[in-house]
Amino acid sequence: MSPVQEGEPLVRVRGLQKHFPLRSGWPWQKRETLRAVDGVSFDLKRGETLGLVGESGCGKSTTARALLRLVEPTAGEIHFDGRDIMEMAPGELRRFRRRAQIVFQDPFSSLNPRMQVGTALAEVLTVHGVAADAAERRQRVRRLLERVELAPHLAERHPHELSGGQRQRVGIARALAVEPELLVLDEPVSALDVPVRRQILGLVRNLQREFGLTCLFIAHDLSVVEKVSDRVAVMYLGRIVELAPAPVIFSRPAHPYTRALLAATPRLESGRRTEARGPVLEGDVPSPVSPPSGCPFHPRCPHPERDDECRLVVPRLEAKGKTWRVACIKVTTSPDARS
Amino acid sequence: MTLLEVRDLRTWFEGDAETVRAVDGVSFSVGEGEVVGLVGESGCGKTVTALSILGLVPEPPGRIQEGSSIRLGGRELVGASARELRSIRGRRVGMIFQEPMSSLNPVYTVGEQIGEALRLHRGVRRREARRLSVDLLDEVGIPEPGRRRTQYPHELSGGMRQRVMIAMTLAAEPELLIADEPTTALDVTTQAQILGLLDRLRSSRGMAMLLITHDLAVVAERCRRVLVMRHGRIVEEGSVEAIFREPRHPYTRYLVYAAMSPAAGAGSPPAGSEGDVP
Repeated sequence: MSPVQEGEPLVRVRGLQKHFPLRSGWPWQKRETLRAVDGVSFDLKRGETLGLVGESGCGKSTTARALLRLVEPTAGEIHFDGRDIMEMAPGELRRFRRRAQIVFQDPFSSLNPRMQVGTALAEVLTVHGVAADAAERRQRVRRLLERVELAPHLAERHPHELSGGQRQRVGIARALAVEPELLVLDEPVSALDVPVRRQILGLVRNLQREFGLTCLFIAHDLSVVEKVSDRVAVMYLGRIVELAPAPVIFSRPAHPYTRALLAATPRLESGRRTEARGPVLEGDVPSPVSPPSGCPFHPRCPHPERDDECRLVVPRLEAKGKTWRVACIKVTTSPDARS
Repeated sequence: MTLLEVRDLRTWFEGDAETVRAVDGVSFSVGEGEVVGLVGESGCGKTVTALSILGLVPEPPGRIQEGSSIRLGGRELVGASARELRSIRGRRVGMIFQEPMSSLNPVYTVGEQIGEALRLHRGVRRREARRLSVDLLDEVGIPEPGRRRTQYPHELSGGMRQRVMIAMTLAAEPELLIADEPTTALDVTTQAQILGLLDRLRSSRGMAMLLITHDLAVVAERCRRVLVMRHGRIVEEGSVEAIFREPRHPYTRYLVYAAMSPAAGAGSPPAGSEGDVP
């Protein structure tokens, strides 16, 4: 991973909320709201990769989209390099869009099926005015393919002629074309087979090192972010429940949800079943339309000390150690103090 | 006792230009009450193997080649009549798929669909079917089965739908359950629930299971014996411990390496066998 720089973070998110009003069946019915993101705060230091993990519907993708101003937040602030992205004028916004890029889960849906891969990449360069002429564009496209470890002749292929892994490499090349500082990767390997997944993760790691990229890496699978993240944030029902350096999350997780998520992740080397590693959570994630009172995790929480307080008090994401924050009123010790 | 015996199975698909040998000489067996894992990347032929066992290969373009043999409890299924296959498919061999929504009928309640399976496979009466379907929903861990019975698939979460699919399959009391990527579309905590459920059902009902997945870690946790498939062939077969501790085939070594977390499997990938499945 690239060296993380201290000082002013590249991205600062404070109290981010995104609520979607739902259409109700009849005009006299109360309109309900889906609380996709419900008060999220974190920093992205320059050169750092933050893994954002949670199960479907926890608000991780909405957070990513808000970060790039692809959705308008309901409340909260997002600063990029010291500037509030909601206050950017069109010209500044265009420059921001060049500095912050996104890679989606399914690159097939973001690639024009009728355009050769090379042409599609060249178009990005034209739109953002990166290359002076056709010759430079061609050269840059060749270099981009090289960076994502694709053979140059693949530039003449159409997206459907590529494998899933190759397509995702094209998706990454497209994002890198404008030489961004921030790269958001939204479930970039979820649709891929395990070996291909590993290759793509290796590529992401190389790129981080080579370009000093700042990344937000989103996944629903903890084992995926382990390989690429400096820090990991775990989300549940629109909130971050734990945020800590990756080694802490994987060796000494504190929040009961992080623990359950880690236990549920099948691992080859453990040789033990999920049930033996920790409690299996029961039931489903509650609807973000009517989240539980107090701690959103309390109805499923396996913590032995869970009580009425959990039902009433909304836990805040509090610092429990120097680099470690957790939102649970039953967790008191710092991870360094626990074995 | 051997329940399922597959010998030299070759299922080919005739294309315009070329013949795709999706399954090309696969042999394995599953004992009564045994769980066997079948792993491989997408396109390796694992699903076509399952469809061949159930007699569900679309023909044409697909065709199970001469000399292939699939025996269930000693009975040959290759070349069996449509009627014979109907008495096996869904009855003695049940199957669950990755996406339960595509196998459930959206316009019938889940109770009606389980009831239909009960009436068809076990010949129970309507009233009895209603009672048994509530029992089945309860057995697969659906809370408030009496109320859930009257709901439609779209009203249920992904994990619930998969439980309903499992209940439907159980209605016929199959001896063998083929689970094709049963948890790939689910979140990890739901995956753990479903895999735990399949385990419990298997031991309580003495059912055999063929668990098809691309995820070696899932197989490592849930199976005793593994088959590793690549390019339509089984490249390695053995106990879970043997395959993960000392994989012999380079492709298995590569898969194991890829599935390891970085802490456990540091270093560079083993040589050969890299790249996407052609």
